Amino acid sequence: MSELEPPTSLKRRDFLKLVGVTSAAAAGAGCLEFPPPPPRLYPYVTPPENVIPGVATYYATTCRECPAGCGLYVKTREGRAIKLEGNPNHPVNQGSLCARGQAGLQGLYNPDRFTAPMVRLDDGTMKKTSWDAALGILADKLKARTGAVQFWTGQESRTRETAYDAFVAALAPASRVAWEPFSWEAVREGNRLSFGKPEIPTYDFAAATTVFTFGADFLETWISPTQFARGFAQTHGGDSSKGRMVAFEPRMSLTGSNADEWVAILPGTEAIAALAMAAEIVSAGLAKGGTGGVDLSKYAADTVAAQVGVSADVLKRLAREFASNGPALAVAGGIASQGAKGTEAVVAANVLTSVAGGVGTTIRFDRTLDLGTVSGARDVQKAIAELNGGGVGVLLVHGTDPAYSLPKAMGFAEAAKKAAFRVSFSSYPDDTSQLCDLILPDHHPLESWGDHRGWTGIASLMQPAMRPVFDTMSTPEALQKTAVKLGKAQGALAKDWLAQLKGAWSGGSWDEGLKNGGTFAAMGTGGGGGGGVSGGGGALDFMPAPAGGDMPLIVYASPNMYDGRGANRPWLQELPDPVTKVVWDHWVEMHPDTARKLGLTRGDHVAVKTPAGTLEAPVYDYIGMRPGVLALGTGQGHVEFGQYARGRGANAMTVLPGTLDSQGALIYQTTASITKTGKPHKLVYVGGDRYQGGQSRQMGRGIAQSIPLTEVGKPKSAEEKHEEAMHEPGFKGAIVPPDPIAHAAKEAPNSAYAHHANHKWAMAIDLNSCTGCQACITACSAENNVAVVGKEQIARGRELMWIRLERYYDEKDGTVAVSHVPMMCQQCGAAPCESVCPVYATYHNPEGLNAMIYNRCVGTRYCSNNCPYKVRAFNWYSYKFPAPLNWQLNPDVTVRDKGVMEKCTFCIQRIRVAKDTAKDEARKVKDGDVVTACAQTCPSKAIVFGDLMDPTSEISKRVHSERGYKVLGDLNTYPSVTYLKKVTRGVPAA
Amino acid sequence: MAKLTYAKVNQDILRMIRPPTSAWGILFLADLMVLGFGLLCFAWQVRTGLGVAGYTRPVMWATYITDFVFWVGIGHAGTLISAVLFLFRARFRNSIYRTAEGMTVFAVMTAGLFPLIHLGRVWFFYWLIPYPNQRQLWTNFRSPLEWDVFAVSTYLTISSVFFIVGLIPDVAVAREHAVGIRKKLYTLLSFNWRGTDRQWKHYNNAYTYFAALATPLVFSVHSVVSWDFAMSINPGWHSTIFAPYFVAGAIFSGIAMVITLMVPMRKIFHLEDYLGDWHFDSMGKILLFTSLIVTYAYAVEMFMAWYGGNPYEKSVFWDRAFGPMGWAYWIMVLCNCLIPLLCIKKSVRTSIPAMFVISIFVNIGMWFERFVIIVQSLSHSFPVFTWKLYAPTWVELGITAGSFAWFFMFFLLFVKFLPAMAIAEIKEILQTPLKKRAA
Repeated sequence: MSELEPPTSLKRRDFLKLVGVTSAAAAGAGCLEFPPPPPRLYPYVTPPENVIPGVATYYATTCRECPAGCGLYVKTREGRAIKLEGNPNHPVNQGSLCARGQAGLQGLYNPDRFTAPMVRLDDGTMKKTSWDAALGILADKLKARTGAVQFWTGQESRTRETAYDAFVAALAPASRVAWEPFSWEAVREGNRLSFGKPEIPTYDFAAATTVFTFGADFLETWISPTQFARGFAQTHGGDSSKGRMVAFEPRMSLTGSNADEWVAILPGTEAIAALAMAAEIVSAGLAKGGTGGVDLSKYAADTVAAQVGVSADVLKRLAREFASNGPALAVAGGIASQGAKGTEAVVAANVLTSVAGGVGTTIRFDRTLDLGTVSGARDVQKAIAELNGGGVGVLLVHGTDPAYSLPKAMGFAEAAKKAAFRVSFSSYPDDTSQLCDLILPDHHPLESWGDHRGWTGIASLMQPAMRPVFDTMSTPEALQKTAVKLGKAQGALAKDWLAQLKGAWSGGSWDEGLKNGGTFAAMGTGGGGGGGVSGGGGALDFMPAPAGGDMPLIVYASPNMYDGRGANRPWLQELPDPVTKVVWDHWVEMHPDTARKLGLTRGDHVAVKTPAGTLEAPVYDYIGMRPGVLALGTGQGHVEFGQYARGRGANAMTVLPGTLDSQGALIYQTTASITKTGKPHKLVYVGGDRYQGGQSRQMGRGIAQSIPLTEVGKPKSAEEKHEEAMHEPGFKGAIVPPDPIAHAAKEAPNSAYAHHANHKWAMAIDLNSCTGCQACITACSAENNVAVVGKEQIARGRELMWIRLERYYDEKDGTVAVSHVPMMCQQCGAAPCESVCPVYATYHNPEGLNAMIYNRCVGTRYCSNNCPYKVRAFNWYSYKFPAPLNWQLNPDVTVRDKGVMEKCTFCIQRIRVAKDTAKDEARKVKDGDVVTACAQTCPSKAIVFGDLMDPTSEISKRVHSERGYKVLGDLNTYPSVTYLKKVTRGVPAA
Repeated sequence: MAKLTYAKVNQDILRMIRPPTSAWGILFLADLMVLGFGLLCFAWQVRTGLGVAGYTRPVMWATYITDFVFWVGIGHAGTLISAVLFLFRARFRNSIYRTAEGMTVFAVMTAGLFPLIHLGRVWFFYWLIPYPNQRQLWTNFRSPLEWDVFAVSTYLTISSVFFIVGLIPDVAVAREHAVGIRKKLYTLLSFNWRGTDRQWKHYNNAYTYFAALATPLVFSVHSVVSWDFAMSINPGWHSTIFAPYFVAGAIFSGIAMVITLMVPMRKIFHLEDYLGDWHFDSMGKILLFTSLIVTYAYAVEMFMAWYGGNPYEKSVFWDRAFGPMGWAYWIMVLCNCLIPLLCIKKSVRTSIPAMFVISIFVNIGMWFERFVIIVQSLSHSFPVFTWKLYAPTWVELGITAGSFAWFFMFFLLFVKFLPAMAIAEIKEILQTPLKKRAA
């Protein structure tokens, strides 16, 4: 498939020699290099030390897919990384991982990675070269240059920064710019103004019973989404019914869709909306903290309501609620902090938290997130000016893609061309590397030594989980070697990279650190309330400028693609956008009324024209938009970046003006007009919307059920109990007896469902915790070798993903309620699929699973037709895993070929491993031994898996929850998956 | 048929199996070309994967299963005419039953291909057959698809045997006039027939016996086919009315196909003496009767969807008529319920052009009936989130066209190589020579 060859073409004999040599080395199994598959498979003659074929080895390291820095366990089999899981001991993610984190593997095995250093020839083409030659060229160019050296990096760990800064210092005149697209500039600046600390504090969602978010999509991309989702679920999800969350945003993000109330304010008015509520709290005498010198009288709800676009009564009601419902937290971020009043919005949210007494409880500075020296937009402008001035002789770029991720209007690409020699350290052919003359590809983080110090007290280590896939080199190492060539290997550069790292490590035993993934100080719980903003906001003008003639256009960080770095991962392209459910595409969002006014329907191809430029995109209309507002996601529209990203959609950065807010943060908003282009475009999304005329309703089918908070814990009336008993289990919406074994034993004692040997596996999914983030889907695809099928196939409903997140809208009381339901094989006790398979390719196994025997399947697809949940996926083709993506395949799971059905197996291979392990240890399988991939990664811990035959297991408790129900339970299929109803805390009656 | 004599019958019917004309040759070649394209489509599908068909989850069965049910249904009229009407001594069958029976065999041969064509892994089709093997793998007799294996294979066996037995006396007539390869073929198929009284006695006993054996199949086979749907839990499929409804539909479509085939045959081979008002009038009555049954079934389905109060069922039937693919439903209603009502008038039933046109509409309508049942029900199942529309691709259309070519290939060979009308039985109802009809 791919023209890319795996890195070496070792002969079998050499390979076996290599196996012997590496086994002797202390490096162990993580460092085996595999040749292309030999025509025959040979067993290890001399197995490497510590490797038992068939048994996984785990390496602790740190995720670098976004600046949050979650802890990772890399599961390796026979020397290859095959699965990423969260490090359960890591305080940031506690075992969970988001979809982007899971997809890190496809960064490692990306078929479009640079396989070796490359140099541009005189005719403009790129040619592979050796590292020695490439570093020689770099040294020569640095020596012979006229002008300065400019080194662009992304957000880097402190130790890497030390190495980079030492390199830059050795090359004076030289400077370093650290451009990280979403580095929460406005948040840090706002906190500097409010608290005197330009830092990202701990936002304690677990402590806050009331959360007001102003544009901060803390469940998807904002700061540390995995951590925040967990904290949020602790107060708001599960059986905990204390929390309430209100989202103030013109575009309903995934976070907004999880809010109990979504207030569609106008973009740019977040600051005054927050201050209006603060003013109300103060005037109502409910204030528990100071206002930091902000004159609230100017922002009374009655004054600003019209500008905010929300009635003053709503603001007042919410203000009182905020002040009187336990610890409160207001956060501003995401689209709120990326507008013209971005920093002001953060300050205003801080004021609101302060007057509600949350500072010190829900916002704390005992643990802050250190992003290192991330440059502000002003530094970036300065650097571009320097490039434009022709003063730069050599431009180095590492870990950032400014040609893509900076607004085009800032002119990086043109400026970069003025540098005499350009060097990229990128692993992938990104847009910036296309401008470069020398490519020195860095290792992938999973192949690298490194460290990460984000939150105070958390020092994470990174270690290579396997030997590099390609002929790449860790950039600090490349720089150190170049410094040696230049004769400037002093200071930090005197030692090699690993020695530098060890030198910088201060977390106790290095080996212990590697084993644990770092050292983690206990998370503080805060020093109680009492704090407040310390001022600084007094000089700010929070009032938004009057709106211009065009429609406001907001640009948000894509949950899947993030700043664009996810676009070359097929898993993330295929993963439906959690809000719109669009796949493999880029689109412009608007309210259906706006679309109607403009004469547009969903999928129409339009030109979005802003003062800075024009881009073309299809229309996606949905009711989670404020009418009259347009929204674009980031992350698509790469000029290059490999086969999966190239030319797909449009880059929102091309229409941003590149202007800065009053405090110097980059603005991601502008105004735009829309014209229809009439070009054909196929907008593909999952879900039945197209059938339902663009709506997404559940038509009263009770798939996503909810229970009002006021009903939770209420004893059932005799009538209700009678009703349930009468219709057990057939009545729609009734709670099916959670124990199908007992029920079947009573009703059908001779059936297979009445007897289970030792185990009865079951799952519970708490819809009150589930945020719809879809990390489970990517985890499942990684674990179970689920193939990527592409846009055209998804248009035909042929996605193979074993889990889907159904998303339903429900408009009531003027607000929009959204439900997210993870749907996978329900492993029915009386499964309709089993009885119709003519060849027993699917059958009921003694542990209550619907086993699926791929080898026996002839492909009649009757099982899918008879599945009321439609969770079976068919292999319409032989899907490809272009090398080296095939290296990621889990050897415990069959790779399915064309013509067979597949579906969720409850990770039967994990059940098998747990049972084998228990057998080896001469014990029974304990609760928690088997964790499915989806449950393992779930950031909000909504999924619980276990054995119903064990009465003490967590699952046994969950299935008896009063919120429990079975989807389509009235069909008597006895599903093994119990859903727990979402608790709704809608708008309280006036 | 008063003017017909035994000799003229022999002459007229054997004229049909004279060596083919160039017109026949061109037709046959054209047919083979369409068949070849169908085979190419199938080869492409096997090589590439079923993805080349238009399947759109949740519509996991579509054109192929529609074709399957369509062709099985076609077969039923043949058996009805040859077996059931034989037992009821409906004499109008004598002129048409041979063609109808040939149609049955070829239609079942066509139908039997589709369950294989639609398999994801057609190369393992034999796994559906319960055969002893050392791994003790067995088939699932709870699955209606397994019942299909038996229903269709039984049907093919019985109808072929019945067809061959019925041919014996006529092939013997053809044998007398044939030379070369034909002679050998007819000798083989006439099983040494000499027309003795003893042979006639045994023959008639055997024929009656096979007719009795085939009669239940008219009802059972299509009932089993209908259970492919009715046994599932899908709204729109899960219904007790399916078996009688499908059987009536099958006879309806089969009779229509018989008319479609007989009208051009009558014209080309100048069989006006053999096929007249009487036949078309009778077939028109069956058409009308079965049309009323399917119309009733459609109405009952709709009524039950409303009266039953099952929200899924209600939604499916609403969608059938008024959903995005409602046009298919209305084609079905027009072709199967409204147009056949014209047969109420005797003048229509006895107008051969009118009957031909009506039969074409019924063929189309019955194809769409199966399409509506299969595709619309699946695309509108329980989970709202998965609703999707289906559209066939050129591969499915190519294979469907190929299946018609496959059927007509056999039919064209049949009319040229075997007596397409039952010589012996036509003679049965002629006035006996040299004998005055009793007053």
